[in-house]
Amino acid sequence: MKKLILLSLIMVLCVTLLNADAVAMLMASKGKLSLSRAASQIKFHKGELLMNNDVLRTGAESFAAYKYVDASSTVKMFSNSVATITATKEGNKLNKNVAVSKGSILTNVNKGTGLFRVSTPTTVASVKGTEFFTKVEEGGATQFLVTDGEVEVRILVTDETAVVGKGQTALISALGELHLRASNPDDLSAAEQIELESMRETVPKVIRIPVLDENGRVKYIEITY
Amino acid sequence: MKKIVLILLVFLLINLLAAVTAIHVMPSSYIPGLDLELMLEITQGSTELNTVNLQYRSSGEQTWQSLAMREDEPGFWRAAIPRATYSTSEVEYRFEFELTNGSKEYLPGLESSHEAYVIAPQASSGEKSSAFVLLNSEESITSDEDYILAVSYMAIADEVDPASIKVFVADRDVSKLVQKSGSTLLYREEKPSPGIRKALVMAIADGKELFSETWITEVLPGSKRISLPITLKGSVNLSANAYASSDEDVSFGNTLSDFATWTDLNASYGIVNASTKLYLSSLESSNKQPVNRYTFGFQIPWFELFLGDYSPEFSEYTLNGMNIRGLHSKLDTRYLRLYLSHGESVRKTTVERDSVQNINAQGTFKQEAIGARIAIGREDGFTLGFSGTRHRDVISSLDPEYYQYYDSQGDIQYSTKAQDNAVFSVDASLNVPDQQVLMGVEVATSLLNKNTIPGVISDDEFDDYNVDLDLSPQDFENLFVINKNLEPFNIGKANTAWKAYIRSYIMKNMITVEYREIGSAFHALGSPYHLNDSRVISVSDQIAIGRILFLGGTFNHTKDNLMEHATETNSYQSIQTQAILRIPNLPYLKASFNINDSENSQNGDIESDAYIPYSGNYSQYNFGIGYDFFQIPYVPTQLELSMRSGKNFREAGIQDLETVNDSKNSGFNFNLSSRFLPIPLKTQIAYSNARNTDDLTKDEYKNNRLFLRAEYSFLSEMLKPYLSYSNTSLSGDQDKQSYSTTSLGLQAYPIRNLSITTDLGFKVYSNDDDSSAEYNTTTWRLLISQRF
Repeated sequence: MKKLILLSLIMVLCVTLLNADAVAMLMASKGKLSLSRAASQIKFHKGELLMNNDVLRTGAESFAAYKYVDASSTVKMFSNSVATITATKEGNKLNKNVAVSKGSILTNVNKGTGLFRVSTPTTVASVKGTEFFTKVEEGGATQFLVTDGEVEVRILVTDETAVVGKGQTALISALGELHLRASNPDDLSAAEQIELESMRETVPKVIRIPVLDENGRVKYIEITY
Repeated sequence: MKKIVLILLVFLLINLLAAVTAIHVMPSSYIPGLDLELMLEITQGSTELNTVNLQYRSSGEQTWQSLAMREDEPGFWRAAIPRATYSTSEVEYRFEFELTNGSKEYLPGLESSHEAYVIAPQASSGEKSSAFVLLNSEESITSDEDYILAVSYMAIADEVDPASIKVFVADRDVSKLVQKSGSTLLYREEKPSPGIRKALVMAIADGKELFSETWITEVLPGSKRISLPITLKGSVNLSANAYASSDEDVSFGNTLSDFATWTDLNASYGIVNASTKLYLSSLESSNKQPVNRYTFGFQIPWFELFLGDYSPEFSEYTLNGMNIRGLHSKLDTRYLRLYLSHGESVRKTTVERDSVQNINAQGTFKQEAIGARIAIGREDGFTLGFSGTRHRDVISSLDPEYYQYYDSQGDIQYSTKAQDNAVFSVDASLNVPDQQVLMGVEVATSLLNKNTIPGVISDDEFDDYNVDLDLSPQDFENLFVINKNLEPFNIGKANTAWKAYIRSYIMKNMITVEYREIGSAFHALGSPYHLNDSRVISVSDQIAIGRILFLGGTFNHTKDNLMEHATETNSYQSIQTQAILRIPNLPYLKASFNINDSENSQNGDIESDAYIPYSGNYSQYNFGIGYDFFQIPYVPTQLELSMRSGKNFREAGIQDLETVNDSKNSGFNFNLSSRFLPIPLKTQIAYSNARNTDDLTKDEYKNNRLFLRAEYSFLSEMLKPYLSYSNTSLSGDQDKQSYSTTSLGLQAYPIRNLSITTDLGFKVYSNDDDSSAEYNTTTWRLLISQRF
């Protein structure tokens, strides 16, 4: 019995220590953004390391973006959104979860980098190598709009699953009713469309990358794309 | 061509005509955060060495930092580039040999001293790992934003020793400032200054050193930060050496305490670079040649101007590395380059009359030098250059009592003579990069007036010499004094020096062929150290096969008495070869073979009893093996073994050649350097043995040397105390004697880029056969260096 208690204590300690580790990094923020940790709001900067169960809230006309520490996935949060970040390490991979209770996020996930789930009050979306929007209304109604890859959606109330492909939008009501249809531009707000277009930018852009030449001097590579 | 040449030189290079031959096996990479230990083995020319300096800088920097190397074992010189110098940049370094005759040679270095070894930041025993992932990916930010480095090593988190993690940003160890959370590292720098930030992470995983790639971020000037658009780089240094001896009369080595301070400062503003170098020493004396150095200069892409001490390099036979204190300028355009130097090359000094020993007062004239050079053409094509220099001893700088006196007959005698020296040279070079060929030629002629004090000769006296020149010497008095002391009076082969060379890169071979002749009366005060009345043929070849095999060889043939004015003609032949084999993860091998033959022959036109025929042969073989035992967990160890064997034979005699010298030498060196990873301890154990046998007298001389050193680090290598002990014992057919030295020192890095090194050494010399020669000395050294 004593051994069991000791083992339990060690496990609790390990879990506590694991939870203290950073799981993501805040890459960008604009407008009003708050970060809550253990039910308290904390001060933060760009580049802040995010821990398990950290809660990010964006205000009106605000924006935030964070990246998980395995560098595999990026989540962008739009105005008036609330997301809780969790991740657990399994072997060399990081299983990630973002719980969206309100608002809109754009998720970009690389393939083969651990599980990635987006939870809302009514659904859980599992993804592997996908880009999609998740939008949650006040009452819990959820909308998944897939712009690349596909997403498997499971409705919590009915345990019903559905696969949402590229160019499709899944609407799940607060009562768990699923409706699948083709996406249309009106599904996205202006800010969401701008963000998406910036990722699909077709106007030639030039980036200038400093690199080291064989003599150790800094040279620049200009890439037009 | 230059690029190809440089690549070769990075690994191996043998100087043509070098007085010193050395082998250096370049480390494959350096470990950020640790001093870069370098070793150099002198295989020939040790006796001509005064000191060896290690010069280093980060790639892209203009200024060399320099530190003296230490000879822990005979022929083996060591020094370490301080870890504060670099971390994320490639490092360039070279070795500077200061010879006893005052000249300098470099390794690597061909004709100029601009080549260097280049070494990149990686682990010699570790590897670059992609498991370090950069989370933030901005290639450029402004100085209004924070510079952020966020790195995850999640994939190897279980294997990494967290205490071993080092983070370097902009050549600075910022590990202490890094926020560590799980397998994520975060470094933040508020209001970063504009420029390039290079970042690197290293760690030990399962006893193996791993390194990240180098991440580069450009910080652009922001709108909030107000800063001077000037980039400053340089260092301020202070050194002090104090000596105490039980008996200064018999002590060997320095006994005069001294201190010095020096600084070098480089400022860049747009295309303008300004630099200052100052060196001030307590050994400076206004009545000796200068030790202190003062240099101020500025450069723009097509023009540079320096004031103060400078060593112009016009051409080999005119101005070639000798210091001139004055003004130096260079106009540098694509097709035309103009050089001008003017100043003092020798300071006036005086020695008062010693009436006790009846020695007259003497002095050295102040010597002025002026030189100009024009070079037409492109450096990467055809170039034609004309150079002219004049060195003049200024007679008015000394009172007559310091250069002349009257002998018992009442005639004037000169204790010091004033000289005028002029040299004119024409040089041409053709660089054909496509054909990988560089060839060139230089022809120079000189005039030397060995005593200008009597003044210029009259026109009538000049006519008596039947010189076929329609000029009046007095018209040129201000330029050059012509009198009977002029050497030679007629310009000819005797006062001419010339050389021709061709260098080509063919099938991975860099072949150089050079021929030079120096006339018996050729004198160039701005470029000394030429062997007069001689010709030299040199052929060298260097091969580099990848980074694995390096082969080099040089053949020199020297012959003097070209004018056949001397009783005898001496000829010397030398062959120097080197090989380095370095297969990754296997022991490296190095070998060298040097052979020198010399002989003389009589000049049949001159009968002289002074001629004594001789012939000599000197040969030396060296072989070495080294290995980095990275397989030993937690104690990477470097082992080096060297063996050498040589023979010196000389015979001479008027009637029949008799053996006058027949000796053999042999020896080996053993060096074991260990770095303990669990504890910050470094140790070095070295042992050397040398034996010299004289086959004529059957005498044998033995030399054994043991060297032990231990270094420990505290506070993340902020403090590094060390203790070393060496003992050299001489035995055999000589006085039994020994030197033992114990040194206790401390290297400290209290703040960024500041290093303080202090050392207290005790040396005891004992002689079993002559106790009167025994002594002991105490030495204290201090070096403070702040880089910025």
